[in-house]
Amino acid sequence: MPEQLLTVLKLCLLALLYLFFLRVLRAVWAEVGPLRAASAQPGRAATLAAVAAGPAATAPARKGRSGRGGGSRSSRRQPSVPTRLVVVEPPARAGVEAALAGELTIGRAAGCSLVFDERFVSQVHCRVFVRDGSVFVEDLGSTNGTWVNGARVVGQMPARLGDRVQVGNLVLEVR
Amino acid sequence: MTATAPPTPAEPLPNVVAIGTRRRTTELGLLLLCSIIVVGAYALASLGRNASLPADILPFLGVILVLVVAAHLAVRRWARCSDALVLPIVALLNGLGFVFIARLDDQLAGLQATWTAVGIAAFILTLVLVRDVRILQRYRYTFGLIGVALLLLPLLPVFGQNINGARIWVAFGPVSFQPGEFAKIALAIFFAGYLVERREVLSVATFKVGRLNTPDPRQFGPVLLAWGVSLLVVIFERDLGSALLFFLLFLVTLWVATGRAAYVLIGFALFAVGAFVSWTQFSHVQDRVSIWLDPWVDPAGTGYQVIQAAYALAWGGTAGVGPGLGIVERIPFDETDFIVAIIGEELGLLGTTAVLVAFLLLAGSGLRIAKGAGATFGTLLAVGLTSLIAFQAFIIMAGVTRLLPLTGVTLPFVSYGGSSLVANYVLVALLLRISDQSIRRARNPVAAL
Repeated sequence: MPEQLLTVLKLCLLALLYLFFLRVLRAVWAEVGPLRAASAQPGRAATLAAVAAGPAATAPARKGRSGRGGGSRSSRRQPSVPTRLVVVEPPARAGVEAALAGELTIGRAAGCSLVFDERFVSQVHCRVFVRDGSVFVEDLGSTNGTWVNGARVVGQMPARLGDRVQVGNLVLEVR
Repeated sequence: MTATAPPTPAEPLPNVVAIGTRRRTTELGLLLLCSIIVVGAYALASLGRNASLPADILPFLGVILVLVVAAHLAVRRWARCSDALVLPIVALLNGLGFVFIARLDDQLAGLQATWTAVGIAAFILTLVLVRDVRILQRYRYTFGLIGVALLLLPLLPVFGQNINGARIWVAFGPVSFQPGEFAKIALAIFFAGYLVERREVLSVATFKVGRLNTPDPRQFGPVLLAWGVSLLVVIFERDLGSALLFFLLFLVTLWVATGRAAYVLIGFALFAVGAFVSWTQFSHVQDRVSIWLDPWVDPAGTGYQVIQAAYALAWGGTAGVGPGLGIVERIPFDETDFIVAIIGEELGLLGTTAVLVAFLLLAGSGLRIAKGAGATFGTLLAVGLTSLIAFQAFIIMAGVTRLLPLTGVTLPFVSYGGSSLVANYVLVALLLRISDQSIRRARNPVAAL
């Protein structure tokens, strides 16, 4: 086998390898690149737009710390520091509110700062307190748990403006 | 089947079908191109070595096509909307690795072919069994325990085996494997599952230490425990590469979960302290570092491997000496840890760059999958799994080129090694499952949740 032929074949192999990578990059480009073919292939463009909208739609949720509550804050021109805890559910108790200052305990027991005699509320269910201008929710070993925006409270969970705190069948909004 | 009826979960929306079909067509095209490259490289290696075409080239082509098409059909059937690029890149890495293993050692090539088939079977099985990635989240603590148990397994007196100075092998009768390769997937699942529910707590300071605000330290307990145990175990098994890998997995997952760069800084400070302490305490760490700094102190002994790898890379030059034309058996462990040096000798800088580019594209695809999964368990798991492959490739290639001290881990999919191959195929199947699910969920929220 002549050496030159082997060299040529080797270079062909390398060229093929990089051709493979080019095709991979082109496939990536087809999914993330600008929508050039919008007019040519309407059906495809629609799905691509949907792909592009997918991550964007979930982006605010992912930001977590900074994103959540920020939108409502700026659009409604409300004060940025939460001051009240307002009951929104059940309808019978809706509108009951308490000022957020220092520490609030929520439960059925008479000693709690907010007493709700409801079926799924424990005797001393949870506490809501303010520290350095931020509101935190901590479950106090309740039977049915405390939830902030549908996520179960573990330890001291921060709650921001507009967040919903669920205590048994009660839902309270931070305002 | 009326036009107005909303689609049921069993019937995905038309645009989901369109995405799936387009992606699978792309995948099939890339897989066929990849098969041509691998068969071409195989033929060329034989031409270089024996000046004749290999006798088994047609069966070889047949086996490759059967494996590739089996994997493709499984994806088409069970993860139709998943990313199109992961499988072809993996197939290319695996195929190229096989060509160079076959060129070094015929017997190992047979074993590697068997392990590839087992790996693809494991890939298909994972796709069939894990229909919803959130099932893994439910069993996160179980996976954490399994991970630690797998890591502990080689320390058992009867099963554990000391091979080449590291106690990372387990033998059950004739079959021996490295449980650490599977432990890394189990730990990635545990970290992702645990951190996704604690991300809020861990990203906000609620605990005061002097004037510093930190997140509540109790929340870190289980993760730090799992991480510490795995690290200790790995240090006692003298497997430094895996220790580094677990540490990076932990840091990256924590960083992505909380979005706090401070964790990365603290992590690296901890790592620096740990590295210094283990350098002063353990002789095998000192050996590795002194070989790294100056292999020429003992060129025929401890420094031999690294020096020969450097010669091989230098001899390869830009385009390499040609497949099958390099010097065989120059480097000990050339088919596992040092396979990239062989590729560098026979395909040159262009060949090693191709391997790097393949891993880069694989990592890019993995991170795109993570981004598409949208703030869920899937995101963290995809990031963890991707960083496992990417960092493992980095650690061993950096070791071979003396960018880092050499730590013996396999080059994923390329090196010879059954456990590594099977575990990495399972890992890739999980990535595809996350990708498939996130596309379906974005299009059809009712069906996914």
